[in-house]
This record gives sequence, structure tokens and C-alpha cells, in this order.
Amino acid sequence: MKFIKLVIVLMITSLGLIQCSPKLVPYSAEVNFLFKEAQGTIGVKSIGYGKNQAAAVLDAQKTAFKVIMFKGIPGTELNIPLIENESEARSKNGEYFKNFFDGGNFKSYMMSSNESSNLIKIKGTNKISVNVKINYNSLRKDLEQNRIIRKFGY
Amino acid sequence: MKSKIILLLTLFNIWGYSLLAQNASTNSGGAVNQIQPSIIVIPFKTKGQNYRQLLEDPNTGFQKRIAISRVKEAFDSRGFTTYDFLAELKKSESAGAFTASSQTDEKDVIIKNSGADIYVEVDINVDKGNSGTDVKIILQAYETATGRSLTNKDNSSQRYYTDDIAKLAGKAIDGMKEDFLNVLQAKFTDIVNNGRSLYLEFVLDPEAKLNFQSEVGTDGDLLSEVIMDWMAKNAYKNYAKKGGSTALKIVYDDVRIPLKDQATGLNYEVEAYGRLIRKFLRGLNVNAVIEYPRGQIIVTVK
Repeated sequence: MKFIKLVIVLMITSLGLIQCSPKLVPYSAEVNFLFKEAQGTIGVKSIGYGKNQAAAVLDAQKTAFKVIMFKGIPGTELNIPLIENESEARSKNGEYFKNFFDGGNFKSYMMSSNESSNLIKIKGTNKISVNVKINYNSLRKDLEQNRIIRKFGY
Repeated sequence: MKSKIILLLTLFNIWGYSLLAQNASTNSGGAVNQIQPSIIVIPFKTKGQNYRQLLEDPNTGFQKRIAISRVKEAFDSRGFTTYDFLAELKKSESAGAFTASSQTDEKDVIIKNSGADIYVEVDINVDKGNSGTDVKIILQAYETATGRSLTNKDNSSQRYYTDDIAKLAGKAIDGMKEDFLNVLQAKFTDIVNNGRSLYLEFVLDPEAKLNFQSEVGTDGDLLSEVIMDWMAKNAYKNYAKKGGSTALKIVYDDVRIPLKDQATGLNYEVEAYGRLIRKFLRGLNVNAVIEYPRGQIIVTVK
């Protein structure tokens, strides 16, 4: 009986530890280049999903930032992502990214955001297309100042 | 008597440490700033062409100057200051580095005199036609020490009905500068992770009593073999790429050393690696003179 209790305790503990470890939740990469007006800015069309319009728009905005920061957009100046290693950066700077995405800090680098489609109902959720203009120059500076990425050089 | 000797040794130790200790007026409290690479932006030229004539040419000089200026501006936008090419050219001219008898190319002289770790070559081509003017720019970055290409990019302004070459050159550069700098930064990251690249050469003094095929030590190993083993063990992350080896010379094209001393966290100098080599050779009763041309180590075995 004692042995079974011990096994259950161990299982719960290990399950708890697994839950605590930082995980990368897959996100959509439906972000496409739209325009470049001034140096250091980029306009993209991003697709977002959510239970209502507000949630879907927020998801589209966050996805646009995630793609620019962690994936890059081929054929643009941000061919190489701003952050080289997503999992390493997220595990080392969890607080920064929590404030950035969940705390809404990303909005400081969003110059404009306009819905370019109506809310479309799809299986179990809603989909929307949003045009987002991002000031990536000042986003890069913020990442440098917070030591998420190194400044130009060694 | 014994206590006097201990006291004397203690005082001697304290004196020795105080010589190496950091001065109070320069003590940063342990903060170490990484020494940054130095970069110079130069115009492309073919062998035998003269930089001064190239930049002061009434027809094409301005195009080249504007292209250099735009690339320098791109580095500045990332908070990185490059060496000024014209200032370096004037410095070399006033030092009389380009004499008629000198066989050295101007480019080599300027790069060497500037002390730049990396040079970026800018090439510009202006194509005027019936359907407008197109400016093409090629950017190429090289590591001075090894001559290794770090990155290259090219871009075109597209055709416009204008004679404003500066505007078109700016457009071509603006379209690729971010990507160019990002790839260069990726190379810097590689250097941070895998070490700085060095060219290393072991040569023999004309009056040396041994060569690299001579036996050294007690195990019957040849000097070249002992050097090979040592290099494999002591290069950063064990990366030492051998270029060639004869009885008279051993060349390592690419040896990696860390940017920071792995034990102290201080900046790691090329000379520190040279010191290790000298001490290793001295342990084999082999005397050596070590010189440090930019980004290189030349070990002359006596």
C-alpha cells in the first residue's frame, strides 16, 4: 500500500514538474509582407483566431510580432528574425515575454492596426485578417536594452 | 629564522600581487566590456587603380562617395561607428605608404594601417538607358586576418527616369542594408559562440638547429606531431584547421580562440594564446619568437 502511495506521489510530482517547464506553444505563421513606408518600419497582414472579434484581432497582432521576432519574413529586410533562438530566449527571459505579449507591451511598437476583413466563422472559432504596422527599429532597441539580443557587434 | 623567511615570502607575494592588481582609478568593479570588431568601408577598385583618382573622378567619384557614405550610415543606425575611409587614405598618403617603388596594393596598405578587423567593399554600377537609369550596388564583407568572406549582398534601384544617382544609390542600399547587417550580426554571433578566427604559422629561423620533422621529448614524437596534438587540445572548442605541413613550415588557416578568457571572464587577447604556445614550446626545450601581425600569430622556431 505504501509503495502504491509513493508511486502516486512521484507521478504527481513529476507531472507538476513537467507542467512547470517552459513550453513553446505552436502559433500560426499566417503573416505576409504588405508594405514598407519608412526605414525601420514594416507593414504586414496577419491572420488571427478567437472566440470574438476583439480576441481574434489581439491574436492577429500578437502573431505578427511573434513572426517578426522569432521567424522572420522571407523577401523582406526581416529575412532573419530579430531573435535567433526562440526557445532559449523565452526560457531565459520569461518575465520579459510575459509582459510583452500578455501584458500588452507589444502595443508600444505597433504604429497602426486595421482590420482588413470581416470576422469569419470557421470550425469552433472565428478568423480575422488585420493589417499591422510595426516599428521594428525601436523594438530591436528595446530587445537590445533588455539584453534579449546583443547589440550589433560581438 | 623560519618565521623571518615566511614573513619575507608573504611580503614578496603581496608585492607581486600588487603589481598585477587593477588600479583603483580604472577599477570597474568586475564589469568587462567586450572589445568590438573594427570595421572600415572601402570602395571597390581593380588592381592598379588609384583610390584618390577613383573618388575624385568628376564623372563617377561622387557616386562612389555617396555609396560609401550610405553604407557607413547603415552601420551608424545600429549604433556602430566605422573607420572613415578618406581619413585613413589621407593618413596613409601623408605617411608616404604609396611610393612609386612600393609593390604593395593601396587596398592592402589602407586595411593594414587602419587596423580594421573587417572591411566592407562597396561596388557601384550605373546603367543609363532609354528606359531610365538603374544603379546596382554590391556589398561584400571580409575578415581582414583570414581574408574569409563574411557576407555579400547586391541590390538594384530599379529603373527610373532621373539622373539623381545619389538618390538611386541610396534606394539600392536601403533595400538591402538591414539584411546585410543582420547576416553580419549572425556571423558575429557565430564568433561569440565558436571563437575568433586566427591565422597561425610555425616557421623555422634560418639558423634553427631542428626542423618540424625532428624528434622532440622522450616519446619519439616529431615536433610537427607534438604541435598538432597540442593545437587540437588547446584551440577553442578544439577547432584548429591545418592548412599544410612540411619540414620547414606548419600552417593553420583557421584556429579559434575565445573572445573572453574562460577562467577570468576578461577579454582574451591574441597575445595570451601566443604566450601559451611559447610556454608549450619551452617545455619541449624549443625556443621560439612570436610575432602578432593583425589577426595572425607567426611562431619562429629558433
